[in-house]
Amino acid sequence: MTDPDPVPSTTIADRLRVAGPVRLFIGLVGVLVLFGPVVMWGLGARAGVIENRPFAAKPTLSQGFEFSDQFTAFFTDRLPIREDAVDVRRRVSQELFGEAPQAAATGGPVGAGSGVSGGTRYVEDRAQQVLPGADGWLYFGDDFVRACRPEQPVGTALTQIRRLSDALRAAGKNAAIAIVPDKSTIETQRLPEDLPERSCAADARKARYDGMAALRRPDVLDLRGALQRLQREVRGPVYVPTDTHVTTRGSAEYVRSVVAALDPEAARTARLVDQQEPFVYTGDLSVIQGQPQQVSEPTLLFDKPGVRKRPSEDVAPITGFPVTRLRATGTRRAPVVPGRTVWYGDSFTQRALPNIAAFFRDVWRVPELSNVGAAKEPEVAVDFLIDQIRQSQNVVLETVERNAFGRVGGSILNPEVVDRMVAELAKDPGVRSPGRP
Amino acid sequence: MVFASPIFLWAFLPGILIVLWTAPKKARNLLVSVASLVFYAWGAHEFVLLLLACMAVNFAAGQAIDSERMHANPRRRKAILIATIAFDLGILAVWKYGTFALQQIADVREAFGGDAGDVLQIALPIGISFFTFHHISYIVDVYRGVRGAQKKPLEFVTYIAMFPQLVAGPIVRYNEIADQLPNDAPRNRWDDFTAGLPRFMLGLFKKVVIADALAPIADASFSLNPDDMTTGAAWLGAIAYTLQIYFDFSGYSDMAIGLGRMIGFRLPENFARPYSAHSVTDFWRRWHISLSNWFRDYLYVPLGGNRKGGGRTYVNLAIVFLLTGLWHGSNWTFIVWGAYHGAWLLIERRTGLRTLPRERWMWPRRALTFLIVVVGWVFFRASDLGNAFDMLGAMFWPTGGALPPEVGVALGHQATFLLIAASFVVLLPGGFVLGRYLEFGEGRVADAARALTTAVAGPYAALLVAAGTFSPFLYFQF
Repeated sequence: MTDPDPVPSTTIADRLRVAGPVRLFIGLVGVLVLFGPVVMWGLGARAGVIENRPFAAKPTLSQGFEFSDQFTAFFTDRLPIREDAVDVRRRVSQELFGEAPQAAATGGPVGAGSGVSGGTRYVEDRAQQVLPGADGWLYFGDDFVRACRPEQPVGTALTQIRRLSDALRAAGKNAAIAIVPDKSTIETQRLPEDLPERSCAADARKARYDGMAALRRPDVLDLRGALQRLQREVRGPVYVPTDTHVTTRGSAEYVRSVVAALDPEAARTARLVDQQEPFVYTGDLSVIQGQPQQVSEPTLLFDKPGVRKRPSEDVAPITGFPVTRLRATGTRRAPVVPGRTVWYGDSFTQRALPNIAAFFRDVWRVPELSNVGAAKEPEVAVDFLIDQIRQSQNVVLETVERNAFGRVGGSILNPEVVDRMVAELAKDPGVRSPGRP
Repeated sequence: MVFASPIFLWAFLPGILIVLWTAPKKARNLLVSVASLVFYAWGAHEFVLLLLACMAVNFAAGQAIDSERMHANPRRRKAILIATIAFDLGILAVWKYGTFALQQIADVREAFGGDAGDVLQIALPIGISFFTFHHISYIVDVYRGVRGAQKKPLEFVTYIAMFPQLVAGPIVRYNEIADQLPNDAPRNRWDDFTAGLPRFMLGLFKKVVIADALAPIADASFSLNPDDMTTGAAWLGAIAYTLQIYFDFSGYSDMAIGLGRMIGFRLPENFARPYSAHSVTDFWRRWHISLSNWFRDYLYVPLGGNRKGGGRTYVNLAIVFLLTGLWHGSNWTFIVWGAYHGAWLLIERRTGLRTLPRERWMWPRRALTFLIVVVGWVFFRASDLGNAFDMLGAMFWPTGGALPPEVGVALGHQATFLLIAASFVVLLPGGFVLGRYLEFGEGRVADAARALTTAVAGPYAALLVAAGTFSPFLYFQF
């Protein structure tokens, strides 16, 4: 392979003539960059918890070769500059380019004989992205991933809703199926301007909500309508700017809508009262973004004069799968939903528990199937839920829109989960609600 | 362990530098060897034992081949050479191609109505392609008498396992580094550090800032369902990957060369403006230079090169490029990619295009060469041949439609800016290589480039490395 036009020779000859001051500068910068973090640590700088999980545990030699993986995680978590690095990356992305930071590609060199080609990480990466909107509002990338690339077709998800509704009605239950809208469904005015998924997300939402309306089931609640009405009533947002959840006012409206579907009289006799003390928490989207921001909202609780609430009880049928039991005693003038109720729901329900407590004689809150504990023993979790449904006259099934229509694993609308629930309730429906034949 | 990781940047590298700077110079090889084996074991775990075993076999073989007794017995000497090469290639064949071979057998069985069964999945040790080729180059050079066998085990381990080039090259021939191995070779540790650092920082920037930003575009495009594939998405994916692989791999080579320099070794260049090539022949003088040189010296020339007539030359070239493709991975896509490049080389040889003066029709030739290379990368990147043909079909048969959301999301402002900026590398003159300029350039402009790379580009890339580990636990609140 002789070459008439040779590329410059690759043999190395040291002709380096770097000026003294420049060499000194390079050396000092290099020392600062490479040794800086360790020196910082030695001087007392410590990394903060920025990923809402504990730091990786210290490695031990007994782990054998796994020691290196554990040490890597241990070291990385404690790197003092991480928080600042995340902040710099976020600022460059948002302030220079007006977008959320992209997740980093990982791994060794491409094309170097490893023979590995990467697949897309669109779903995984986008699902974890926080999208900056107007006026400091944050949106969850997962909303759009689940809209544009759902794990099952919208029609299949709607079929599962119908099947659950049929099964619960056949079992004689007083039921409510509540799909809580995504933040991006309700708070549309501050969405990022150049959203690649805008069109497909809009199509998906239309299909979802038209589909739910077409089911014409009284137990399938129109929470989108309820929250949009509330938006007009309060003349402001019903979702928290830096969080995926509804405001305390929105949460109260969610509870009221469900209770009204189960027992209109119980809902009518409650009024919402500002407790005059703030409800302070950290916006979950701001945590994912790496810049935790506190949120302060009025604490709003339903007041039903005469209703006595009993202390909550927590049980954990599976480790990490906490079930909360709430009980209240109503009066003739302030009735509570009678009988036993099972309320299956995610973090929207978790946050609403203080308000749920005022409306039910005996309600059992069961966490969502994507909960950490349920994920370890999914069949046990499903069987537990079925058992709760059997023992209850009233059933509430709540899930957020993106998980209802976008996910299969860990979703109440997973066809395999619905198959099991329908079959088991057909075999043994348990107690029936007095109002149901 | 990869270079662009916090554990490497802020634990391993500072650790090895501190030790090298404070220890006596004569301890260098010991320290580099130990550090390199730790580096390898960190990611490859128990496969470090495989590396040690291969080193032991090749070291012993080298001693045997170069012994006076063997020089008097050419047949035995050759037998040891063949056995050692067979051992090295056998290791590579089993660990890298075993699963692929078993899968092909299963597929054939299934095609004839049999039961495919479960195919044994053999894990791929990191860097096996590289250290195998290092070993073969060593043993062949000793056999040929290019160099005497390395008498000191420590220096041999230093050569083979040296962490800058162990997992991703450049492929360093023993002859290229033998004179640098003795601990008493004169060197200045501060000079080494300050000479290598800008090159390392450049490589880090190319990999982390540019290549990693382009990767999602390519990944998204190549992963589209055929029904969702559009011409725009296909071309975007192909171009993005063409730039990604260059910046990623050449960035890694820059880091390797910079690291080698920092610890006192001069490693060979691996890239020289490949997208400025004016022919596919010229491309292979600029892309992964150490690999193409290896295949030239240890396969093409022994097969006869171009010394046995036109027909035999073409056969030799075809063999070389089929194996070049296979070396890159155990998938038919890599073999086709190698065959594709081999075919173009044959065409250029047959038509005399490769001997045309460089400046004749330069820009059209550069554009055509770039197009040929882009098409080749489609095969290289695709998950299988079907994926490759879907992409190529969409590229060359107009398929309209809006950009799929995955590609739209990947093509954010930052990625678009970097895609455009990176594209200019195609237009740069063929003789200017930034990495070499940073290391050897003279004058104020070169000094400024070094300072800028070290003080701005590199640290920004390092910050992205730290930020890239951020992965909040999502389900805590949901």
